[in-house]
Amino acid sequence: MRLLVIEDDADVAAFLAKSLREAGHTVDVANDGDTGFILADAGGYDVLLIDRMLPKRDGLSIVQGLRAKPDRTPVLILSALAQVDDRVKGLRAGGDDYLTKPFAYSELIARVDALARRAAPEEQTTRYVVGDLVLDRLARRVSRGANILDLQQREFRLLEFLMRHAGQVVTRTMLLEHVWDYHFDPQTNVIDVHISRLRSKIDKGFDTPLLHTVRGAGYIMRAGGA
Amino acid sequence: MKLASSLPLRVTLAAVAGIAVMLSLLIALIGAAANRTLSERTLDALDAELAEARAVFTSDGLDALTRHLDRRTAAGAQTRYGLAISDAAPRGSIAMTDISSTTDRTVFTYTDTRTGRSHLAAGRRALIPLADGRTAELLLAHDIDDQQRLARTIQMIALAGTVAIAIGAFGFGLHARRKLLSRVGAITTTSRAIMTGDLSQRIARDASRDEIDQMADNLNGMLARIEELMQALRDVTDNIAHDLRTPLNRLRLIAEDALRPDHGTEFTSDALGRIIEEADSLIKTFNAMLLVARLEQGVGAEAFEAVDVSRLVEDTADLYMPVAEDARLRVVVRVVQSANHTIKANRQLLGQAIANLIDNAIKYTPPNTRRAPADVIIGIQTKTDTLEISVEDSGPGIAPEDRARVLKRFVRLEKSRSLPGTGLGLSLAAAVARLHHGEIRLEDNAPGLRAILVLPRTTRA
Repeated sequence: MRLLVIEDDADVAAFLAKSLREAGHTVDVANDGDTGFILADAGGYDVLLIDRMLPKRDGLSIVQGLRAKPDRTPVLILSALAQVDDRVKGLRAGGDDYLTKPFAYSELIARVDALARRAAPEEQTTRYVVGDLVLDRLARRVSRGANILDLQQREFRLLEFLMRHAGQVVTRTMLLEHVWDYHFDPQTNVIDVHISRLRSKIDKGFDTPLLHTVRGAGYIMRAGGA
Repeated sequence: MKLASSLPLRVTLAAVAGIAVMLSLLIALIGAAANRTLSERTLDALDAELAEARAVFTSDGLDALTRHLDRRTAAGAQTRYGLAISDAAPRGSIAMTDISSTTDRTVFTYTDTRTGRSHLAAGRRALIPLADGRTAELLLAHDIDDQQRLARTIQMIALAGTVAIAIGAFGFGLHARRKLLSRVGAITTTSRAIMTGDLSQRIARDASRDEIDQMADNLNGMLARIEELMQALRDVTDNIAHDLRTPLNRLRLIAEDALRPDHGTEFTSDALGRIIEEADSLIKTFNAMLLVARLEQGVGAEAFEAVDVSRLVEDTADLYMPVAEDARLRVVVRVVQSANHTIKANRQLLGQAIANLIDNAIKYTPPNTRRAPADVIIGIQTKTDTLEISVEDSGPGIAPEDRARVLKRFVRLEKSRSLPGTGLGLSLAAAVARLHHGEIRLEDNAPGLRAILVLPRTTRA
């Protein structure tokens, strides 16, 4: 994937570029708003990572400028402003996702991957398959091998999200945001408990586990090997 | 303070100057009016006497007039006269040569030819034609020395009075200044003490309820509030120090341990994972602190929308249900979906507040409590003006004297310090309640705690 990072803090920009390159992406960096807008406008990027506060032209204005073109390239807004309202403003300006500094490397990679995939026109998949686990969206049915699994509605949505992002790390925050629509921190690690419930239903009694924990990052659905 | 820059003194002096000027004017006016009235009366009397003198002269001649006049002006009488006829010796006690004026009415000074004393007099003059063709010049006069003296006395009294008033007013000004200074001085002394760091100082009050007393009252109220905030800040700092140092220490220990060369790769990567978890929990704490601070500034009210509270409560309870089940607690949600439960609110913040209350209820209720009908009961009550979201637990509860305190930032009761959490759950919920013009009420659930999030049904936003 080709990524553009618009970030004025040299250290953060270097860290971002290094992390994203290690994750297999091609990365360009712009250090101010004007340069960033020109590069982004030239096109060819799969995902834009834009800091909110930039010299010369602020991040939200870049996003608004691109959306007015219209340019639908997915944008991940990076910001030190953590509050719900700031996030709402960022998304209203046309951002696709919002990540608050300081953020975890794993969170960043997971979100960029999710955005990059969204860039490809999403085919309306009705069936997700990971190994021998099959989720049928239309029939609202989950089966593993020959067994029909009995999932509650919330467990179903949780599994659906995990399987849609099979092969990618999904963070706890992403799950809270997309499965529960909560953009806050529920103190206790409630997500872990939900995951262990789900895991006991889809993995318990089977030889190969499909739902793996990635220490310090989140979870990943994957057939074969931890 | 310099005397010249003293406000009460300046005000008094200005008032004194004004009063003195007006008083002098008034007295001068009274004097002039009295003087004129007396003079008119004198002249009227002289006119009558002159007419009488003419009548005497016409009927009886010059010598009779002279006798008449001498009788009238005998010792003790008010009237004096002078009579001058050319070529003849002047008669009467006034020498006509003294009088320079040629008008009929005149005020003049003369020397009495009999006593040799000098007098001030007001006079009337008349020319009397004699039978032989000569003209006699007659002057009748009243001494007005007394009148003059009275006028002088009035002036003197006026002057003395003005001076006395000025002196008295100056003294009064000094007194007012001293009195005011002692009151203002109390404020000055107290503020100096406060500036040196003793915030417990208060301005001394007297019971007068005057303006300065009320001002002292207000200043004291302000000081109490400031002291309270400072104390809160100190508490927060202490609590932050404790709550942040512990995980930081832990983080450092893990890292130090992982650095030792005799550990394998697996140990190291496990340690790094734990370090990340510790760091995440620190970031969570910081974010929560920041959120409470910003909520206290009113941030978040812009994103109000219609929120179905019953739905939000059910969803949030649902999020925590597996956690409760793991702790072997029975949680009952008594919520009936209703249109009445839709209010204007910030969904995310309200969800966070409800989540915190449920999180606490589950965290503080011991496992296997087995209370009937449930260990934790979550419900919504609709009141006339408010919507009450209640979370009842079966834990140790909070002593009545601690209830107000736990809603403050970063307060965790000592016995709960070992449990995970930022210590901001209740204070964050309270801040969210305040943002929605509501409140958190803590009650005894005998045993346990009943936390009630009270929200107005028509939120002013």
